[in-house]
Amino acid sequence: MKYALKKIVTIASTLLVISLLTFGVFQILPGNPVDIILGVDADPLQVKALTQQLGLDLPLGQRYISWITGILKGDMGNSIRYQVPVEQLLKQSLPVTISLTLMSMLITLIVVVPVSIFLAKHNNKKVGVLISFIMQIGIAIPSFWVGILLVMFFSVTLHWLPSGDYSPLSQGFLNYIRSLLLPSLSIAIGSSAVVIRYLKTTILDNMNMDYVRTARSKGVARNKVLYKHVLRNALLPTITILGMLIVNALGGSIIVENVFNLPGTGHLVITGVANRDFPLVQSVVFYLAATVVFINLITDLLYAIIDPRIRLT
Amino acid sequence: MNDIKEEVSFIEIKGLCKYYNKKNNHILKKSYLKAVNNFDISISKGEIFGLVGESGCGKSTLGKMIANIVQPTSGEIIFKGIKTGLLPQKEKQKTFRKIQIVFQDPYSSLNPKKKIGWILEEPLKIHYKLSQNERQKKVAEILKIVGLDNEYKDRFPGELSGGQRQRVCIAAALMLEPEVIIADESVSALDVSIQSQILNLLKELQCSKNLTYIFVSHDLNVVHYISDRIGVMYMGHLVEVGKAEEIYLSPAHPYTRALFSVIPSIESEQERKPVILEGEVSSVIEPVTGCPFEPRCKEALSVCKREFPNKTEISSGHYVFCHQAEKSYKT
Amino acid sequence: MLKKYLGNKNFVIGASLVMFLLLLLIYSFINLPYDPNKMDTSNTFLRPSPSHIMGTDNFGRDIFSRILKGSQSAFLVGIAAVGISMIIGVFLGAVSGYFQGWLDKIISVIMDAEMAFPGVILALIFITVFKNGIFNIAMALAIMTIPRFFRITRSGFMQIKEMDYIAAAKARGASDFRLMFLHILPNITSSLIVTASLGFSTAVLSEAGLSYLGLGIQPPDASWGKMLFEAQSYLLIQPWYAVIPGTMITLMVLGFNLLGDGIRDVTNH
Repeated sequence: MKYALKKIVTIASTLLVISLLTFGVFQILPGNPVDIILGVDADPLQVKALTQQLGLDLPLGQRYISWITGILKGDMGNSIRYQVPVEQLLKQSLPVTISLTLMSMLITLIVVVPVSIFLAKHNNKKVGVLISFIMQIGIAIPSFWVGILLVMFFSVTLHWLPSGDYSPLSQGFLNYIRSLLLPSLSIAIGSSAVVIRYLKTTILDNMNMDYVRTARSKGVARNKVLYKHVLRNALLPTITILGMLIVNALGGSIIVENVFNLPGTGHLVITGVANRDFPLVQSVVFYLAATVVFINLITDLLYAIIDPRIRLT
Repeated sequence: MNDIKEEVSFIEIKGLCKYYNKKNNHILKKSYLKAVNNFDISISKGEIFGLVGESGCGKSTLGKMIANIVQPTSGEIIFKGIKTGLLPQKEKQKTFRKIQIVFQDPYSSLNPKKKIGWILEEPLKIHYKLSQNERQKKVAEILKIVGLDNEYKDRFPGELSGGQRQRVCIAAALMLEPEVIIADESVSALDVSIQSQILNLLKELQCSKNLTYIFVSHDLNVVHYISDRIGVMYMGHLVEVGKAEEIYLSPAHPYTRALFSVIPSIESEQERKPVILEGEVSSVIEPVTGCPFEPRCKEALSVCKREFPNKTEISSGHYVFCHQAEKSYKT
Repeated sequence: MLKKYLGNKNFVIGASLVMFLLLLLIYSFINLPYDPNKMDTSNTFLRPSPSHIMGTDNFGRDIFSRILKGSQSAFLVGIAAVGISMIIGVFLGAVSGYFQGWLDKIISVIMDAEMAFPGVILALIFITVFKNGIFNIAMALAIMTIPRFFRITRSGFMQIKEMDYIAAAKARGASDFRLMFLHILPNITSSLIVTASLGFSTAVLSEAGLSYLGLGIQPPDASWGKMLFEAQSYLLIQPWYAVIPGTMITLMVLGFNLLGDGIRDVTNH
């Protein structure tokens, strides 16, 4: 319990710093944002209206407080470009990103466990070395390029899958999956490579430990040891990896959504950046960062629950 | 500056304490790890003072406090009559420069990325305005004194053996012409044959430069070989001190007797019966009233549990902290 | 010493790739076959031929020359990002790890907060505020990379500070500054090199992503990421246009990753 409290305090201070950083950066704008948006020769009345709308006539501290309390209440102001409340845009975009994240995580998980076990078994053989090298390529390859290649192959050449656009669940499950498949694969390839490398090393480390030797000398078959003991111990740090996976998927989705033209949160941020839509970017970025922090919090707590040693530090 | 100078021996340690905070300190009930507890000793110039005790008794910490590497929690270190605790930072560092230390592990006491010559030249660069030639001459000189050829100055520590590295450490300690050297288990990590070489080197240096040594070790034979006087430490306390030969032949404290009883010895006249210590080591963390050795002492009296023993003089210069001795040698 | 490096597969493959790319870079300064920005609308979508080794794009520009030019931006951004972040990150890490106390706590909290941002987002914020342009991108990527150098320097300093040779040098009069930069720092250089190599590949990958999104290097300057974006619209007509820049990015990232891993393997045995 004490650990949880300590963690929550850390999280709170991290969030505070993030909010200050996010807010602060947008205030250092060279030049008045109103001028940037409306142009230098704009009608003074319009300038005044926009200034008031953006709350730029209020002192700095007050602006920060009103922004933060707004976020906590769910009111993030209006998007300049779209002239609708930011949280509305956010709400619309979330299902897409969440679907994408979940699907890519699912694919990753399915692939990772068997491949890691295979690599651990065949670590020093030619096959193992070859596949490890392929993993290295998987880490190096840009996800958006993978997306393009997949489109080239599966859409343009084979016409099996769509090359873009999102088909919501409401319009049929099959089409929903089809529209998410290639994007998820693009993210999953990179994530899998990273996790496999990590998991393989953890499995190998465990296999070399004394408790395995003890079990083997007692006559337990190699595979049984592997699955019953080693995997359990190796999966523990994998929970950390899960957290990492979600964060990776979130980050990856930002670009991949653009490749496939999916109207998710990542796409929202990018458009906001391109349009210099400050209220939008400011709040969405904070929201994304806070999500990452919470995911890490949950991961750490889970870890502490499973491994009692952590609680005592 | 009258309150800083005092007419005392070369090194005077008074009531020196080092307490470390326990990890899980409650707000109301603070307890400490008392590594060194109320230590008093006087050391004369040119003396080789041996400090023995088992691992964890605080002797290393004491040595490091005298070398100004660890700051005391309370107590005084009076060096050449100067109360060092009262000095301002810069003066303090200048004073302690005359007290140098040689560590135990020859593998972690030299910077692996620097050549021997660089390591030895550095203190000269920092403190004196010499030309490069003059510095290199001095380095060659010191290397010769510790028995190493001048070509060693271009080598890296990784290329040297344990014994050679320890010679370099001694050389490094000598660069600033110190008056005191703290040898903190300096030979403990070496092969026995190398140990005697280094010990002899230390003895020679002491003679030629009139150095004062504080020789910290858990190895009784080594301490007996090199020391003029020996101090015995147990759990942060001094329990016995006296001339080396006397401590070796007629130890007065039960702990000292136990320590010296188990070393195989060719010289000793009497048949020593090994004294096996039983009982638990009382924790250095729990507050202790009475004699710290009481739980393991075969000759413990009821008073030993209640009161901390006073200092008893057994013979000239031979002191012990024990209620039994108090009884027999009423001063 | 050198033999150890040559025996490590990661190092050998990584170093070869990096050398290959460096050769391309050098070649790009000496002899660009065509002006990478020169459009030639009568010669669009040419297939690879002796006069245009990789063909031409939708504007008739020689693809090979653009690839060469792109290597310049990639290296420039990578070196700038790593260089700046190394100087700042190592300095902060050294101060934090050596002195600790409240200064360390404050800086660490800020760094942890920064690491919580998925990398690209951080760069995005920076670019929103300061607009794009090669310097700003390098700065954005540098800020993204600082925590890596900070962490590794800090932990290295904290560890080495406790070593006997530091206490000995201190007893002989070495100042804090001297201890930090002449004694401790040389002992972490190998981990810094590894971090630099891995940081370089991350920077290149991020820059490619940003350019792909149109938030990075602006036209008409060539960037492999931007070329990928352009290629996406012409997959039916000119499929190899999408393959080449992607391969280059992958090779560069792969090369520096393997190089970093190799050095790490050798120095950690």
